[in-house]
Amino acid sequence: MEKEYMHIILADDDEDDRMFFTDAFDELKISTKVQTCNDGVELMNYLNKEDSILPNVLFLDLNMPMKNGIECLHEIKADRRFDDIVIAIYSTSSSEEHIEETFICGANIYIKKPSDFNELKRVLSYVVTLNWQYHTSGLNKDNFLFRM
Amino acid sequence: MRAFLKFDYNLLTKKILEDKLSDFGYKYTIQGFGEIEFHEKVPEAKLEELRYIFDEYGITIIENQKTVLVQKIKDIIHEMIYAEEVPNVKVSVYLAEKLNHSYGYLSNLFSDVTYTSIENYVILQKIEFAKQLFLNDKLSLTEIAFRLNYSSVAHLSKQFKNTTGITPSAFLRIIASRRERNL
Amino acid sequence: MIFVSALTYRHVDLLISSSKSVAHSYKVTVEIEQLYTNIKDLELERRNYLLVKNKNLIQNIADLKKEITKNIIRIEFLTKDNLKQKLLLKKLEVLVNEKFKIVDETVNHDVPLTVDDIEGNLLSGKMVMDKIKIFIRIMLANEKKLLTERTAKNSNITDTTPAIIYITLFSTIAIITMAFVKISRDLEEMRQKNEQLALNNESNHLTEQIGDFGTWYLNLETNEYTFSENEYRLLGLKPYAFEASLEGFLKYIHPDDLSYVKDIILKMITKDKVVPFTYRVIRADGSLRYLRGNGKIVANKSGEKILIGTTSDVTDEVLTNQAIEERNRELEANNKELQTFNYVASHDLQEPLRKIQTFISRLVDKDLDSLSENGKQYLLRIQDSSQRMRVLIDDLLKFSRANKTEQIFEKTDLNEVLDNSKLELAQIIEEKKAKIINDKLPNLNVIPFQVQQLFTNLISNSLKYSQENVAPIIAINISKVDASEEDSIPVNEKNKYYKIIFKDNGIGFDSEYSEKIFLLFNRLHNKDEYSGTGIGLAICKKIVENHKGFIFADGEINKGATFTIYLPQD
Repeated sequence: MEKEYMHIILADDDEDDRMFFTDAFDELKISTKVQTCNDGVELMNYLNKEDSILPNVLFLDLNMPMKNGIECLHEIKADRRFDDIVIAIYSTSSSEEHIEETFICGANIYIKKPSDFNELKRVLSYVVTLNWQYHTSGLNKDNFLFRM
Repeated sequence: MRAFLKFDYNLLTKKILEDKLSDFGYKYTIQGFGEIEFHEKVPEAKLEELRYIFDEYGITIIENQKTVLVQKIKDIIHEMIYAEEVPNVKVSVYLAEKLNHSYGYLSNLFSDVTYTSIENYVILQKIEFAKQLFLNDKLSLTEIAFRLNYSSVAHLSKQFKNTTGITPSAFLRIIASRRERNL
Repeated sequence: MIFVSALTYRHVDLLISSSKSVAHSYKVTVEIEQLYTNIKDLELERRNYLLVKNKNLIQNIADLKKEITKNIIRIEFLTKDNLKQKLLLKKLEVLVNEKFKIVDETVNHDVPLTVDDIEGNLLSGKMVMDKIKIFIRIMLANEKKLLTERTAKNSNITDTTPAIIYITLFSTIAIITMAFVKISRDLEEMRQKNEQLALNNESNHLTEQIGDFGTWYLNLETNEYTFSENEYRLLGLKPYAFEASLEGFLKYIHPDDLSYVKDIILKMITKDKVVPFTYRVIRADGSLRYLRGNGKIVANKSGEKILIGTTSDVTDEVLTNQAIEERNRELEANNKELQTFNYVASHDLQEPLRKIQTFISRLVDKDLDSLSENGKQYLLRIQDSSQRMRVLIDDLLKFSRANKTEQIFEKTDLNEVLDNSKLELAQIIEEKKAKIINDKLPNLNVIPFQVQQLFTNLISNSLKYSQENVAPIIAINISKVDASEEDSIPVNEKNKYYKIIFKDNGIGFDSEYSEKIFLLFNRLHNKDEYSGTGIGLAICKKIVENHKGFIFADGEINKGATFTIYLPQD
């Protein structure tokens, strides 16, 4: 990834998880710009702002107060402006049906939050790299489904 | 009412190039996939213009030599995988031959630039193609396994699951459900 | 009867007319003979006059002439239907007129006649007379012939008349007898029926009282209501306490149900459609009862439409049902609460646990070395425990998910399910070099994700509990069975099942534990030997039960374990 940065946003209401997330990226040697939002409302406000830089990958926690991950997912998918954003659901365990449902609703990636920091780094690194591949090799984003 | 499409990317890109270049004013020849030979030197400013026009279509004019080579590797891999008749050689051998470099060199270069190995990239492309065949051409897993040179359906399924984290059947289910819901 | 009387009438008619015609013939004969006599008398008088020339005779002659004319007229009248006689008569008339001429000549001749004249006169007179005589004779013969015919006919008819009369008489008697017999039989039948009816009525009254229901009728044409005795008793009244009417009945209905009942009754009357309906009444003594009514429209013999209805006291039934429903609601609410608790607990416990584990992992990663030896130990032990806790919570979560009430059954290809399980466990399968041999599985109506988990759990178990240094072999067989053939299935099940057997060659277990093995948290090994929480099989059992099936386990130490699953075929 040359001079380009991968722009990443995480929407999660948990302070510790946000910290883990940003720390992980700090330790990874990938050129990324990481932003966090504290809940769904903050996220949508940011995205809807005129001059906001849209993220390449959006990590979305499901359980957030006021506006949860699924609601955000629907809103984002409904807006053509956000078509290029790769959406990764980043959540604590869910049932199989629920996971499949998030894919059907338009999520590209589902990640179960790991309970090991190194594992987290590995996962995030992989997601970013994978995304990069899609981005640079003209692969079909609509078929981009990934689960960890 | 919905219509499902299948794209011939080679033809698509060629047409766009031809389209855009026809107004450009400089004589050119399209040399295979991803290479244009201009018959005269194009000034930098004009090239910028072209870059701007191409950008709209997601076409980038690569400058860096390394990047060019990597792109070539990708193109060859792409060609190999999408060919009707898959050449019966290992990827490593094929690439080394075609590009006149040792595989080790190519491999390192590729990883440096793309942060991923050639093997991984090949698998990625294969699975990507498999997805296409599965969804658009509606091939069965057996047919796809054969086409992509997997030893068995189980092998294909395993690699599919390893790469994407979901099974081919789950994949099909999800895309079908998406289409039903009009996403 | 009518035929016979018609016949008789005609016969009598015939008799009368034939008698009449015989009499007629006689009359004609008499008249003709009378004519002949008169003509002969005339001739005699003429001859007398000729001889005597007595003026007194002239009057006689004139009288006779009148008589003769009258005769002829009468005969003409009598024979007007007989052409033969008519013609003869005409000819006779001519002759008679000739005769009259001669007579008149004789009478008006004043000059005394010579003997020759007299002779000639007499002769011509005689000639005419002879001719007349012939005609008369012919006419008489004709008439006689006719008379004979008619007389014969008449006597014929007369002979058969008694027979006809007897027939008429007998048939009339027969008919009357038959009618009488029939009427008495009908009367007897009706009497019997009436007795039966009275008996039925009594029986009905009794039945109604015992069964605690009443009946009512509404004649739709006359708009008359009839209530049975017990119908009144249902309202807590004495029989016939008020005149049977809709208003009278409605008075006792609970005000809240009044419009409902009115509606239904109207529907019954106008639309012929009746469904049982339940409503409340407040009895005369103030007590509240639940009544259920039902009705049907029938037509009676006169073609009138009657609405028949029954009313039964279902108070006990309703109250019991209400109690049961209430209890059910409580149980369900309780159940839901427990399930939610389970789910939330497992789910919410995950978060803090995950964080603990993540922080520990960072510590272990970065700062392990800066800890004392003990510190390191403790930290690692903490890590182990939290991992154990994690597995437990994960399993609990899986178990509570298997419990979720809204389950959607879909037709699923079990082969695909099996493939997915193999895919999920691909790594371990490869590591252990396991072999899975299976029959072709059918399509079945199941909850896809649950059945997926079932297969995965079972295979995973077999893989986990494999014998050391022995490559695990898992055989999956399927067959169709009848519940009656299988000993393990409770006897009152009648359905057909698919029997799926998962057999492995692992370490097996003592078959005395074959039921305990499915208990929640029950383990046959301690955690140091084999990891696991003891929930896996409990989840399997739950899933199989969700599908209304059965699961059984059997094992032999160091030989292997066999899990038999029965799933209903439909």
